Amino acid sequence: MTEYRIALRNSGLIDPNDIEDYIKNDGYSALAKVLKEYSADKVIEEITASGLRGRGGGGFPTGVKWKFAKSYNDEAKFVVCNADEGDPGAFMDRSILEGDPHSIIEAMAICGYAIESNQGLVYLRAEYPLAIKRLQNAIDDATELGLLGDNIFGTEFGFNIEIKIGAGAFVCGEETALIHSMEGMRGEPTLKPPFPAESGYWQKPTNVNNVETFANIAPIILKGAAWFSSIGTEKSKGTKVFALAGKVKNVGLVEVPMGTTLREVIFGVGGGIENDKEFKAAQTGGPSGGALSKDFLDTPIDYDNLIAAGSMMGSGGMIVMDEDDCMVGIAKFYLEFSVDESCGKCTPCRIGTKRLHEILEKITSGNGEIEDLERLKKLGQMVKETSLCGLGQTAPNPILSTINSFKDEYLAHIVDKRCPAHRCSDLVKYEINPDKCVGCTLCARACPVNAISGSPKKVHSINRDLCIGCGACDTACNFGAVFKN
Amino acid sequence: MKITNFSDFDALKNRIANEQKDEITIRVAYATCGITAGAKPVVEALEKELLKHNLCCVSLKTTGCLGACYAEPTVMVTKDGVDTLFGYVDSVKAHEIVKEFVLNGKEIEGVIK
Ligand SMILES: Cc1cc2nc3c(=O)[nH]c(=O)nc-3n(C[C@H](O)[C@H](O)[C@H](O)COP(=O)(O)O)c2cc1C
Ligand code: SF4
Ligand code: SF4
Repeated sequence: MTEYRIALRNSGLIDPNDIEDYIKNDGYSALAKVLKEYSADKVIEEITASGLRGRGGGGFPTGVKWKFAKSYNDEAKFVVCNADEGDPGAFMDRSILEGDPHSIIEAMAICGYAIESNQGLVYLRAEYPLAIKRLQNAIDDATELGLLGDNIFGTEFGFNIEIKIGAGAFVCGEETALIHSMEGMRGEPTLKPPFPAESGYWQKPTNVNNVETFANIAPIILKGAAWFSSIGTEKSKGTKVFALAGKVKNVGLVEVPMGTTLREVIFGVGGGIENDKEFKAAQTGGPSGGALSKDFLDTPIDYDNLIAAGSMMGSGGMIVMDEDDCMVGIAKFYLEFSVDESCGKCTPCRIGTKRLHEILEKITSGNGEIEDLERLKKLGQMVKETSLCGLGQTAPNPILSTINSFKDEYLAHIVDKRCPAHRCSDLVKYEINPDKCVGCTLCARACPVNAISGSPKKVHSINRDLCIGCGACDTACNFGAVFKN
Repeated sequence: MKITNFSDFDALKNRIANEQKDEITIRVAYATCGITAGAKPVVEALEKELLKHNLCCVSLKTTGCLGACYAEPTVMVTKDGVDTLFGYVDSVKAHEIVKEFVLNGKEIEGVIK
């Protein structure tokens, strides 16, 4: 299986600070084509026919969204590019903006033409200073050349783009929160409907798309909807960029056709698991997604299959875990993120995620009860169903998916008070292998809490209840008889 | 120059397409990831070495990320239409790439793709 680059077509190949290098690679030809040959409706038809769906997480059909935005008439309308990229572990949007900023400018102008808007806004997180610099530079160059501004190519159509710098909250990536943040208010979500297409930035019709979504627009216009829809699966067309991270050999960005399997991504492009350990799971969708166990290695990755597997596409973060990772700990890690990032506006998310996190904390510290599993499931389901925005609605996913696929690990923590991956420090205890122990007594003398008993030249043993997991015995033993369990 | 109509744009595209192409292109992945991993001294070393040998038909470009984050800084040399990607490049390797690989056409270590 090979990579297939559409969104990343120019990244790494052209000089992002050189507009001519972009033009040389068909840059702005799609905008020229659209302004010369297409009506606004024709652009929307083409994007709809291509089957392109939003790459920002939701997977909403882009053409349909543009059509909604066009249908609301107003003297001012806005095209917004969501470059908040809050999913920890995802960095494809940054890469596109740093490597190929003109592709976003061109696509936003095409969108402006299609929905009849003259003003674009890019909400770009402050943590991406280089992306801000290169995009601003590209906007200036395009304006100077007349590819932005009034009467582009001498037509009636004019378009300008402004960068809005966002100051780093995950929830600001949610489109209604993003719009409030751009207006100078608190970045808190509001109920939809009304959708931004009807009432968005300053209550004007606003079309919000993700960076990677925009990066697909120009190739669709130039090569046609039929070409794009020939790539991918029945309901997920084109390619997806994944940010491969975690215990995989080749950490980096990969763009593959929709429908590629996890196995092909991780063991093909990704080169397999680091140190040739065993694959345990891959988390897609970041804190909103779930962990896919090895049962899903051969499932074709697309929007619908991931949802069915209890995860989601999200923005394309893919964190690979091996046998040394504790799945309860992973769920706790993501919950911690959601607790921190919950904006606090609605109760189920504000209090629910906190309670969920506390139960996980209880389990990983060895105080879990078997009823906690049911509590997690019930509360998780409730938080999903009653939260106001996507953050709360997806925050329990890491827990629910790990309970589903790795129930034995939860049971080990709760019933046996063991962490099979030896990760939860409260549950890591030491034991002595009787076949290797020669009875030298060194460990017993090293143990600070006198947890080790045994007489000289006899096999020693550790009292699990007394052991504090400090590992002093392991360091002391010259025969490799001490091991974690 | 300002493009005020479609023919201006076609003219610009023609001019760019007909510019003389350098025979060899060296690209350094120069995005946040590459720069953090040390791409800046690599670019400086490449510039110095190219200048030293007075190579006129080689163009040096800083680009965005190529995706091979695990091996940054990366340098891609395109010679006769063939791409060779070097990973884990430092300034010493950069000198070697110009002197041995580009100039003398020798195969050297450090190729990742
Ligand atoms: C908590 C939360 C965070 C989000 N963060 C992002 C983000 O960082 N980038 C993004 O493009 N979309 C993000 N979204 C999705 C946006 O709300 C919106 O659906 C998307 O920008 C629409 O663009 P698309 O149709 O092109 O995907 C987030 C949604 C939620 C609920
Ligand atoms: S679900 Fe969470 S992040 Fe979303 S509005 Fe409610 S409290 Fe805020
Ligand atoms: S130090 Fe090792 S060999 Fe000696 S008693 Fe302890 S476990 Fe046995």
